[in-house]
Amino acid sequence: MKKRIRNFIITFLLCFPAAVIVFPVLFAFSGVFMSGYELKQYLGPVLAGTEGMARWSLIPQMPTLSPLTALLIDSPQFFVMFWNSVKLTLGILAGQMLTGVPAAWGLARFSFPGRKLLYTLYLVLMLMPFQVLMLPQYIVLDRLALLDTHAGIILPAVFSTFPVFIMYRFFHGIPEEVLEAAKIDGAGNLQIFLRIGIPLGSAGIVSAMILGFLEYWNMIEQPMTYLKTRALWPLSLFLPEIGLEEAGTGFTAAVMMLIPALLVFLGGQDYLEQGIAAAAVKE
Amino acid sequence: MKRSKLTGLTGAFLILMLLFTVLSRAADSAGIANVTLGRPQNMMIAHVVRGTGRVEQNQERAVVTEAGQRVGTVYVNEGQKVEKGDLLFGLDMDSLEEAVLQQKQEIRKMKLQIQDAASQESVGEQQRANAQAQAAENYSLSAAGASRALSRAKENLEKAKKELKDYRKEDGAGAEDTLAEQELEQVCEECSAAYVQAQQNLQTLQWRIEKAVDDALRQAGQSGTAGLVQNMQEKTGASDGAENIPEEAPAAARAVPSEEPAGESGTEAGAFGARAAEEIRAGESGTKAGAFGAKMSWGSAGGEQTAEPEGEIWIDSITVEETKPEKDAESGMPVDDVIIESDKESGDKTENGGTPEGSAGLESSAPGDGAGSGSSAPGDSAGLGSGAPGDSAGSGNSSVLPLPQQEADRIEQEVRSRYAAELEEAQQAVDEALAKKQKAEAALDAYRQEILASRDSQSAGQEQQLIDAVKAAQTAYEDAAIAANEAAVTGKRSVETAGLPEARNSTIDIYRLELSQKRREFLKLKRLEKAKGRIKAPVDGIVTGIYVTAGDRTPDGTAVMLADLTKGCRMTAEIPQDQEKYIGRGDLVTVESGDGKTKLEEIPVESVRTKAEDESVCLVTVQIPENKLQIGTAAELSLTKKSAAFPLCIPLAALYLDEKNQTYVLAVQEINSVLGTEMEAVKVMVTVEDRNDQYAALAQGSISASQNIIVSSDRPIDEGSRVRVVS
Repeated sequence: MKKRIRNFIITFLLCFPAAVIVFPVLFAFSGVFMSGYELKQYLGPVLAGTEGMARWSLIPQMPTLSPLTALLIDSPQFFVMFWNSVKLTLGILAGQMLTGVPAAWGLARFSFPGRKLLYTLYLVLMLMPFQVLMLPQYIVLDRLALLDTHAGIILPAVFSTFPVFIMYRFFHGIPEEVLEAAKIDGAGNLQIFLRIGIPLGSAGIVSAMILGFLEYWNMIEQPMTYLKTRALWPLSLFLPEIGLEEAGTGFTAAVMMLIPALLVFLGGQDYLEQGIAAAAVKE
Repeated sequence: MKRSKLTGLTGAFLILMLLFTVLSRAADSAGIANVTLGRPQNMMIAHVVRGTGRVEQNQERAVVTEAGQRVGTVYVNEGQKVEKGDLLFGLDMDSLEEAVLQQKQEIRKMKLQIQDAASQESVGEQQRANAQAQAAENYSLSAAGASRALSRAKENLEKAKKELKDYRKEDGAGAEDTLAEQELEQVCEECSAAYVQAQQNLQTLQWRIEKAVDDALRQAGQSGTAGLVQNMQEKTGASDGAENIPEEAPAAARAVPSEEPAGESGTEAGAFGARAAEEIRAGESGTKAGAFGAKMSWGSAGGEQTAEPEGEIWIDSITVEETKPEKDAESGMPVDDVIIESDKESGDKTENGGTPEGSAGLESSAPGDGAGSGSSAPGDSAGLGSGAPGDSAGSGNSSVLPLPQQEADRIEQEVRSRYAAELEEAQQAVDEALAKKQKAEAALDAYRQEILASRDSQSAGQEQQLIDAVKAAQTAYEDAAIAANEAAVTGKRSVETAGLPEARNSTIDIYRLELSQKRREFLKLKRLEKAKGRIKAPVDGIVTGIYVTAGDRTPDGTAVMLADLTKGCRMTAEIPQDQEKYIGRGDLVTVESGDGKTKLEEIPVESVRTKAEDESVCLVTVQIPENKLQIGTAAELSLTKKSAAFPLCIPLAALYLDEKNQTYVLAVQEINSVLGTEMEAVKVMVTVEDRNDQYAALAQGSISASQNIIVSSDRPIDEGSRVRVVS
């Protein structure tokens, strides 16, 4: 009984921060059903400079689906950007699968001179923020004539070090005995990688992919820097273009953008946790 | 959550998004305007000017008749076509006959009035002539009397002298004594003459002063009431001479080379004479003045020669010449004229002055004594003539309002004081002359007493008697001379007064004018009566207005208005003001009747003008050839005028107007949008040089001939609209 009361109190107390954290999502959801006039009334003081303080109501006073129609029917731009985002994200993830998984496997399972140094280099590069790499990347992309193309976004991301780092942890955790047994059974290196490494490290691969998806779905600096043609822009650049007049559209777009991330998250929740845990464990 | 379920959800989401992608694309493309592009072309801009109007008559003809006649019947209606000679309306004959009768009576009345006025005038004329004749007669009588007295006095003097001479001859006095005595007598006579002269001068001066006072008063009155005087003179028709004299006379006098006052006044009189002569000749002052001149026969032949020179004249003798025409021929004197003969003498005392008006009133014949002065009869006759104008000046005076008494006194005082010194001098001269004369006489007496004393008392007594008689005769002669002068002066004045011309009287002339007017009216009425009061159309035409009604009286102005068909017709069309520049006088236009049946080509424009009531409309007038279009027909006028070739012409649909009324065209531009490369309309400002209802010509510079612009669109577009180029 006493324990139950204590749990209740703890839950109650934790609800407050939870509500604070969840609030923006609720905010966006309620905005989808608000009319432009209502949005202007609430947000005017912040966005349009009208007098008073900004307010918000989680329940729309005049519920309407007009922002939804405005986005889904009247904004072909939104879909262009949506598919751009899908293309970029999937392209990057596929590329990482092709290059990152073998790289992680190699680093984790083979011993060769300079392996330690290479791994350290990977770590250092992983810690580098984008701002540091931006200029060199720009120059390289310019030389390769990859500026203002989707490839210019995809290729650098394909060779990102973070998924290698995540997967390295999982591959490294595969017991040596399993691999030796396979060798004894006559399996070659490739067979061992495909038949034993990938299945056993799949949790690591999936978690790396999910983390990668979340990162690249919301990617904003790279397209902003390297893409000039508006037709190539991903969805993350749609919202900055929205003004107060289309605030409803903005909220709707935000929710739409949230949906794929949510689905991926729900689908790969277990792997995600594992991946995050793996990244947290220091060697 | 099951993984498969999640995968299904993701798949559904993606399919949904795909669907909406297609849907939104379709919706978007439905909202894009399909436009066609075109390039500016080199072409001519044709302007078609069109205007409609009605065919009107060129000239209206007003039918008028005598005002105030009763209308019997009106035979026409408005809009009716009439031919020349057609009956328009008829007057009531009874009323017309009555009017004719009335007019006849009026004329008769007028004639009687004229007769009355004429008889009145002739009576007045008679009276005036009588008065003048009387004045002249009085003058001549008094002058004759004076001259008779003078001549008698002279005869007496001569007789007394002769007696004395005879007695002395008989007595046998010494020749030396006689000689000395003659010398004294001579001196005595001279002194006497000088005295008479001085006395005459004094009289003349006094008369002049009076005249100067008169003039001054009149002038003061005139300047004070100049406007009024002017009015009155205009009204009464006072002769020009009357108002001109005061100014002109001194001017004439100045022309004479004399600085002395006496001479001046003399020439003044002469100038008056000249003036009179001119007037008589011009016949301006009327027949009366002429008649007066003729009656009095004071010749004015030499009038304008004027200029009484500065010679001193004094009256020596006055004679009435009865029959001496040949002798006085040079002064233009007919027989039976009153002639006052004045002897001239070149005097040594210039301060004596002339005898202006005094002698001016006299006729000097200068018998045998032409020496020195060179003065001549015409000058004097000029003076005589001065009567008339002088008096007419007086008549001007009569029309002047009386001055206030104080002012009049002041002016009189002033004039008199101006002449005071002269008057005193003259007075003194008289006194001196008298003293001299008395002294000379005393000397002569003393001498004679001396001689007589040396004689025996009886003869001395006898001689003394004779001498006394001579002396008395001498005194009597002097008095007579002075009296004659006075008579001449006063007589002339009364004649002048009688010679005043009368105010003009135009009553008869006015009556005559009225009569002729009435006669004209009568003739008109008579003509109407003759035509049985029927008014006919003077020309072929259409009745456009009837201003008479049966039973009422005819108006003063137009009775019936006709559109004159013989003068042709014209059409006036209204066109908008902005098309005025495309049409001008002489342009050949096409006129088409409203029903389209008649089409007239190449009709020249007669005039183009702005409509007075509405400035946004212009009126174009063309003459319609005879018998082509009926008056009142609606018609359309059109003219196509081609401009020069313009290199940049676009269809009018491609031209847009912004809110500032500036013209622009829309070109297309590729833009880079989220949806890819799209076409967008962009604004290009242009200047329109010319346009018609289809095309506009653009000024060069803003766009080029190779630039594509939007010439048509399937929906309204403006700057920034996304467009899709078709074809």
